[in-house]
Amino acid sequence: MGMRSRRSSIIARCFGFHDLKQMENSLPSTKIGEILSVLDEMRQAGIVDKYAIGGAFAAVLHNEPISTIDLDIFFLFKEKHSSLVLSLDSIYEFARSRGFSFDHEFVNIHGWLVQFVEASHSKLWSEAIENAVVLSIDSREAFVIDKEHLVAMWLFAGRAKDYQKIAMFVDAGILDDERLTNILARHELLVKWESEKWRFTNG
Amino acid sequence: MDSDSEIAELTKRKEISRSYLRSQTPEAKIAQLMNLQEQYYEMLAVREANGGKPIPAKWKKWHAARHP
Repeated sequence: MGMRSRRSSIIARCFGFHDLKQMENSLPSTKIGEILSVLDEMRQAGIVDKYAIGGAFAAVLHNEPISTIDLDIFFLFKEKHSSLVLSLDSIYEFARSRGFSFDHEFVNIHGWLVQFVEASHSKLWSEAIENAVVLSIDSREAFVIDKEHLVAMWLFAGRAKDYQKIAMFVDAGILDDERLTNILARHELLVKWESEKWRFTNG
Repeated sequence: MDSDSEIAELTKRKEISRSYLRSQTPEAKIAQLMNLQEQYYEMLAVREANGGKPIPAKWKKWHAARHP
């Protein structure tokens, strides 16, 4: 058995399949392209301005699959809201008009629980949206928060599950250290990084 | 095989599978995520059925959305 074939065989068996072909044929249709179409419609209707996929779903796209139930969409409203409490009524109204069910937390779009997170109150979140990278998913443009902003957002949030995701990115060696340092410095997170980095690194 | 070489072999396999997953297209990664979600929910359902903790409310919402 050749090196490549042995590697493929190991990968397939790790996931409980006989071979890679069988594994790839078992993958379900994701419907993410349809969700991206809905987000485009929301932009065209003026309900949201810029948006970017964040959270664990973005971690999946940048790194490797980890389990999460929802799809976080960080967004900015087109209109500046003067009220102290931001209302997502326009989003729920749109969901209702399209027949998507929703509660206060999630909108069910084509079987995915989508959580809309308004970002204007946070300079870090707003900057993350402005600097989103564009990935092609189902032949559509998907705006995704870049790896280094995700790490800064997780560091700021500081929950155990956030630190786990940072550790995965560090372990994968996929971060641009200089870019990350600049972002952390801009948002006064360098001290926290220094005090917490023992959790993510061997050094 | 002694335990050290067994651990080394398992570590190597883990690295191979993780590097394969990282190299996948976004569509394939999302599809793998969907499989993970199904497996995780099944695990929660088995735990509940065997007298363990109930399925968390968020996962019940996920199941209702994915399997209407």
